[in-house]
Amino acid sequence: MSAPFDPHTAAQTPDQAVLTRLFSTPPGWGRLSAVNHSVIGIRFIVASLVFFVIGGLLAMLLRAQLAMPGNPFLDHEAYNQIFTMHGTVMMFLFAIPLIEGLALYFIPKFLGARDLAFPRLSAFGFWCYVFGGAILLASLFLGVAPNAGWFMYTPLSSGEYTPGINSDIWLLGVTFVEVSAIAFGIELVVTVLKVRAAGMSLSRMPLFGWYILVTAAMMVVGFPPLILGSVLLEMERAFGWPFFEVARGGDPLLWAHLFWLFGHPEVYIIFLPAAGAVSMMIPTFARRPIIGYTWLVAAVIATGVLSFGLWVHHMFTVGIPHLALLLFSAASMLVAVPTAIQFFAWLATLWHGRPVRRLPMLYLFGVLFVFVLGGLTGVMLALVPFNWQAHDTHFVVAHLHYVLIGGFVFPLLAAAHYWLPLISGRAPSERVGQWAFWLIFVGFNVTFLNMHLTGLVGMPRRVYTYTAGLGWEWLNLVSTIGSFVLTIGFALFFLDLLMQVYAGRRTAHNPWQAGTLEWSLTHPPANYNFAALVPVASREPLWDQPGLVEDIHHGRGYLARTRNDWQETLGVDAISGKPDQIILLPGPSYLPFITAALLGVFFVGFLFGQYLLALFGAGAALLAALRWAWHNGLPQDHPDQDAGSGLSLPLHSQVHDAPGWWGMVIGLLVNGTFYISLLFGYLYLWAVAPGWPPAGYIDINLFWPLVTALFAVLGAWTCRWAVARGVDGKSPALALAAALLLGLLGTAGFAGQALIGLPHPTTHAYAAVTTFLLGYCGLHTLLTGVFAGYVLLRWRAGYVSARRSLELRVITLWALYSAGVTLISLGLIHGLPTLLGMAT
Amino acid sequence: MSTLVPAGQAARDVAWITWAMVIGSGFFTLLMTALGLHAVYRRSDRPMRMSSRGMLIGGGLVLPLAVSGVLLAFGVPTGYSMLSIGEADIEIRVTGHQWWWQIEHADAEGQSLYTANELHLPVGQRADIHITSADVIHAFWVPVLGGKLDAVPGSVNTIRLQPTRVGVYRGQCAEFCGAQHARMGFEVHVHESEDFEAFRAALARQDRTLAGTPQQRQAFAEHCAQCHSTSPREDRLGPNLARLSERGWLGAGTLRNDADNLRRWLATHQTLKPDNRMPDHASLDADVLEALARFLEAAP
Repeated sequence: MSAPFDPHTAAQTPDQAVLTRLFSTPPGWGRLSAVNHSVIGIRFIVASLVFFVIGGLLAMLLRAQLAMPGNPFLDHEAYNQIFTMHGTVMMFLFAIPLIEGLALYFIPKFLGARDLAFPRLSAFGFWCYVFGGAILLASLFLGVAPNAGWFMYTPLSSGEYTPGINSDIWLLGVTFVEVSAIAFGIELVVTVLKVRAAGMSLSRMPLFGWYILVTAAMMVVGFPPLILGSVLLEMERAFGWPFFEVARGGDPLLWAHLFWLFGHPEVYIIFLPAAGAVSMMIPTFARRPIIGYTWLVAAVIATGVLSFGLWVHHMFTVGIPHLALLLFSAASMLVAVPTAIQFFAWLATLWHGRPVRRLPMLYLFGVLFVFVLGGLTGVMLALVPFNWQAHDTHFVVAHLHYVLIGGFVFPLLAAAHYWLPLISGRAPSERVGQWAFWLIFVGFNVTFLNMHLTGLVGMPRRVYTYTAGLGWEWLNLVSTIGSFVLTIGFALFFLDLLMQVYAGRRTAHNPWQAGTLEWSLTHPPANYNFAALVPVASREPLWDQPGLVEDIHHGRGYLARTRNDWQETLGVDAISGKPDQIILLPGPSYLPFITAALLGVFFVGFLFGQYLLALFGAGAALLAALRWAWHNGLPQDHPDQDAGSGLSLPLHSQVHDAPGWWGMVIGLLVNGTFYISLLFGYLYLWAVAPGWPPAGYIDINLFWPLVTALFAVLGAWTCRWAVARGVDGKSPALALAAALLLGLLGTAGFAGQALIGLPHPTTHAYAAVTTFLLGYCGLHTLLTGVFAGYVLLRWRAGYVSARRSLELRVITLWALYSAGVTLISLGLIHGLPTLLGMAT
Repeated sequence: MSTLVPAGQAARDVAWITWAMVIGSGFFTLLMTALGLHAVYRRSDRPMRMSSRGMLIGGGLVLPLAVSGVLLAFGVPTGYSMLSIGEADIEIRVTGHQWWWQIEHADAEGQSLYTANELHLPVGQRADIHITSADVIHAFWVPVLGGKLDAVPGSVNTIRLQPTRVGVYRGQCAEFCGAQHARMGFEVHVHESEDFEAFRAALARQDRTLAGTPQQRQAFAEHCAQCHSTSPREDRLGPNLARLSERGWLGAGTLRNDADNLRRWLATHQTLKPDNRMPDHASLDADVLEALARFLEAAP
């Protein structure tokens, strides 16, 4: 048998040199313009690890404080800020961004592509994350960090009980960071569906692709409720709109519902990608393909769906109808099924394989023990009578750390050892890592195993001090000692990784002999990943397609030749993986950075009550985004292009389901979830809040809402008309101008109804939430007009033609959505009082 | 205050379920770990003979569904015993404040008797505790008696407690409620029925209008009476101080109640429980503080 092909020794082709130049990031300040997914992915990972260290140090302070009763080390204010920030940092600034970084870095490499669908979007997300994180971090050093708990329950977090800037920092900082989560969600759904290797049908996709597809979809529908909640609470704090204040018709539990509507899926958003990494590693070490691929896919989808039906189990003690308690209790236990399926699929794969005992397997053993125990205590907590005892005690603290460290940190520690050779080009080293594992494993269990008991013997969470003599002293002391061992273990782990990266030997190619595409790349990978995009015919192509690595590196495959300095990758049919377009990727751009910075002006302006500055920031960010969009597309029609191997494909701006079209669809899904959450809030207040009915309902001649609705419907119709004319090669100018005008008129219609027909929004939650709904519709109608005007300019500049109708179709989606929410909202606003009036 | 040493009906049922679930969780964790270790550390290099479909169906579907079914079968009846269903023997209103508890017993005629941070219950009787909040969300929890329920502003939640043992137990706010969430404890006194009646009668008789000296009463009226009352019939902004000298703790579980600690509390409560809502007493002379202490200690 000849020696396996090693791409590191192969000579570069001229096309590879061009690809290297095209995909490179400029040096110096030019780094701010980076959009390459490998660069952005690594930045996400490094930044999230920095926040992990910060969050860990905060945890050490908490454990030091609780080491003994009545400890004077931290006062209540410091403790409350630190525990709030520990949770906030670990959830929003460590766990989610680390997942984002891993997916951004790896997904194109797993799926056989050169970059993501929207490289600039993930660069924008990165800057939003860094700027938002910086706001939160700065508050910690200035001593004004959020202090109402990471769950920010109202009314504690409201202006009356937390008058300082602390809560505003949380609401605005976290929302800024969430922009990056939304960007990620859109990016990854579209990338996984559209940007894969030829022949990689959904059923051949590496499991991590499935996990990320579901995770990204969950982020798309999971984050909007929290963003809505944050916007509403910030408006209550800034302008006195009483959404959550009982005295003026609000309800504090609305916040809790919106928070946990996000908060529970959040747990699975963190767990699933880590489980996806496990599903990638297990086959490699078991030396056989995964058992139960279809079961796993079904389990992942089921987890995603079920996770949205469980949020109430965080609220079993708030006073919930008895039947709802039973239903949510049963649903919470049901989620054990897809989780158990995953574990048994992994076990079955190991049982039926010939497992090799390498270091990552040791960490996977940590996953098995720690997460299974965390999952089982989760089942315990799903039982309402037990929950009523254990809720908000240290039992829950122990449970959630078992789940998150077992289900997220341990898998990723394994993943770090597993994929580091690919990223760094350095050989795996396994000795120090074993020491680190045992320190982490023992330290973790010493900290948290007995903490279950701490809770059961009555110690509540989030207390900065406790009285001696309640039987909590030694339990807390042991936990504190364990946490120091745990920290030493983490320090050793990171030290080991740094040593490998900076002082390790060069690794052999594919050191673990894995079967998935990323291991076909050089270690570290070239900035364009694949020199040629090869067709894939198996789930483990490196095991099943001999000669594949050579083909890739010798340029035998699709898009191996460069032309016009285009950065090309393949777009495929979402289901079958059949190539259907050539996607032209953007090069480095400062616009993501600038747009994020301007958005930062909005957030900081709002934070300090400078609302004009904030408005300026928002407007400037919109302009920057439109300027960014101007770079899309091509100023003339192109014929189909040779993709290599005898295949000829259209460019993405000339096909129906271009990534941009999918991006708008997923973006509207985000928006629609936000809107449905808003409707939920509207009806929830109406049905449940004490302090209703309000003094009066909307009072305006029905003529005005009817005219406004007409403007919105006509706006959508004129956009469709513009599409019809555009694809016929006729001028859409008149239709677009009409849509612009209708957008402005419709906006005026909404403003008029809010200003004339309603009492001032500070008077009652009804007026506040109705004004908000009208404002939401008004903003959408306005944007329809703005977009129509923008595409009019694009048409004049030659970017729109019969073949290049993408932009017309994309704004039409927006206009249809706008018209839809307008009709629903106006129907609700004007219909509900009338209906109820007739009923009484 | 351990849930595992119960003194109430609901807590006792839950304690049994807890032990069963703890043992079950431990068993399944060890079982799964053993399965994993065996797969990796077995001697033979050959694939193991065990149907993978069997593992997926048995372990992934049947096992979790069966365990959930058993848990619900035991858990749901227990849950129902904690709900306020059917007539209660006694009703008590509890209101959470930052950071203390107002307790509202009723006298023989059903009139309100206010007190703070001490709840009295007769043993063996079904008590419905109606819980609400005057400001932010708190949670009412007496671990030895039964589960917790949130105190939510604008709504009333009811939990049923049925003590089974006479004794003095500790309760604690369980929902984070701001600066002094840690110091929001209270005491529950479970009495024999006749002792409970005696307590109620004693509380109802509290009348301190002639307690202490005129100078002491004057000091209280001047410095305290805006927020505090010593009459159990009056509901003021701050904790009711009727029968204060009989209570076990000061400052909602901050400090044991004795003569020295009462004086420490009056002089330095902002150090003992920083940011509590009572104004700092630094401006008060030592003799005024002493007068207040003596007034609070004086027999009614």
